[in-house]
Amino acid sequence: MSGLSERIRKLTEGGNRMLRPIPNFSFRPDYWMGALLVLGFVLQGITGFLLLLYYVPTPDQAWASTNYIVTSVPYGSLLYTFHLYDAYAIILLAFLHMFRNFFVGSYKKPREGMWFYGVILGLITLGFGFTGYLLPWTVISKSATDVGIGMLNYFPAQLTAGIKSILVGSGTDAAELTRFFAIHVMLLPMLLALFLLIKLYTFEVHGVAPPVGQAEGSVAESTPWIPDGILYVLMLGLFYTGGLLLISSLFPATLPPAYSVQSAMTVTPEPDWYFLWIYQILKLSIFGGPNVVYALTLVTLLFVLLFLVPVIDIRGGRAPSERPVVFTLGMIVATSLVFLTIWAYLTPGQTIPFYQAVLYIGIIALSEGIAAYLGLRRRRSGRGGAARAHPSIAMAVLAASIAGASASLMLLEKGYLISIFLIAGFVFSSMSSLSKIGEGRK
Amino acid sequence: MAADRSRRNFLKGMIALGALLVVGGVAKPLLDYAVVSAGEVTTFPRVKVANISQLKTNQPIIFNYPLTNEPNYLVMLPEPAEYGIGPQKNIVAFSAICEHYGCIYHFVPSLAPYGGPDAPGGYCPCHGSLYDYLEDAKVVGGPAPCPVPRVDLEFDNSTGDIYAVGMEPPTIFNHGPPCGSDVMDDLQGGSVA
Repeated sequence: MSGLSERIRKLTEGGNRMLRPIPNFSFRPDYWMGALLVLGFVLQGITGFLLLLYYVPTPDQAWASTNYIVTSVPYGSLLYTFHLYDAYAIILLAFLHMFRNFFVGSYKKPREGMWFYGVILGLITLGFGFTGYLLPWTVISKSATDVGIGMLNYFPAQLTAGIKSILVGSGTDAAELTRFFAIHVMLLPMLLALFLLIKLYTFEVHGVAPPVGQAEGSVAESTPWIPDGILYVLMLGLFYTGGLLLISSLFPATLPPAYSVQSAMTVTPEPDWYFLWIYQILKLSIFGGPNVVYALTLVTLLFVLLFLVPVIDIRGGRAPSERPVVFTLGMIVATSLVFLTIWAYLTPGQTIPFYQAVLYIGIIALSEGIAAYLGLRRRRSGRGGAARAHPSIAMAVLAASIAGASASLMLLEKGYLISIFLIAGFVFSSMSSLSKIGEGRK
Repeated sequence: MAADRSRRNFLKGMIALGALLVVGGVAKPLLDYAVVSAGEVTTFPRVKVANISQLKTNQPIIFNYPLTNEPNYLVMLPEPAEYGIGPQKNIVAFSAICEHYGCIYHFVPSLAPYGGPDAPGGYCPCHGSLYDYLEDAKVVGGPAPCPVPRVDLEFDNSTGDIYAVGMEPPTIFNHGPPCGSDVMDDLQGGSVA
């Protein structure tokens, strides 16, 4: 017996010599969103393989084989639902992961690379969503995908002919499905693995970003991976997987009807929820007709801007008070994303008057800008005691308020005033608690 | 030492050159393989679509033309229409693909409920584009930049058969530039019906 425990002790020691200990400050779920994303993708790989055992990627078989999985294969419905919901969870987590790292400023030197690879991985994730949406060949997914591809036509042909040809091949339904399938199950997983490897390597080089206000490389108390670190990550991972399994069992997804021209005549094609904010921009009245090219250019520019964040925001530290403009702009973008998504969900197929969008986004921007300014100003005037709110709690409040306030803005229709107070109040209170972070360093 | 270094640089250069050759050599065939070259089809086929006995007023028949993934509505309207064929000059056919974003629009007996004239035509559920079938699918509402293209029809007086023989400009959505004028683009990107 003693020989066995001695062996285990030796093994754990060896493991702990290889694995860098975990700083104690990072035992908090928001530090592990990237890890959960990796787990999410591993689960997609496993469930994806299982779906491939029955799925047939041809126009006359795609829907029928998916339907067979859902209705006839034991646990097929759970598998189909889990693959779908895990995809949703990944996309949601990816957005949260991005905004979290934006708000804590961990893209700053020396971790600019992490941000760049992260944005690329985010685009790959959206690519998974776009290509996977088509595969069940449902009336909504096929129609919406064709609309998406059709938009490429508004760009100059020289720019898009190659992309279009790679995406849809000869242009027949069969070619389109075959290529989306190949991209979804082969090309994107390879690209994902490649950039994940690069990102993980970069992470190992720089280590985890210390909390805002703590100097880079300052000695933090830490805990070895074995056993505490492993147990913690295992707990998070099991919570994620178990939660998804539970939700998938309780709320099984239903497969929409099969695609045919006849059935397409009766539906309004819509993108899945994660593309609704883009859809809403495209529906603005000023982007009608051939002007859609300007909307698409705008969205492309947004992604370019997103990629360049570490290059644009180079001066100052990571605390919100040290980069108030960039921080506030980030909040406005986050709120607008949530807001446009909910708005698009409520107005399927309706053209949106441009002035209305300007008004709504203007209200959000103005109230958040003023509230953030006032909140962050409190620091300079020296009022208020030490920071009581833990930064992560402040972040959670911020996120919840952003989502809630913008939802209410929509749902209350005429409740502009209430929304302004909601947004401004939450932003003010969280910003004034955040404004104290970083003071200790001075 | 100096000689050593130049030899090393030479070897490095050779490696780079080799890598470049491999990448360059693979890139071209890879692209040619993935990108499909334009089809050879240059003439519109003549396809029998339906017989006049199958048509009922305001009940469209869907047929693919000129390619297998290009749906059109063939419909007998309650009154004579511009470019209509048949004894009553009331049979027309238009592409069923909206010229705005490429949704499949709906045929409706009257556009009035959607803010258009009281005429049969197309209503797109995506963004509300309206096409008046009595007036060669003129855009009478919504954001569509041009009418949906008309299918050239031929009517055989002896048998009552209706044939599709060609397409009128503008081009079908997703074929060539939006609202293009070269109908040959309609024959690209698919196989002939």
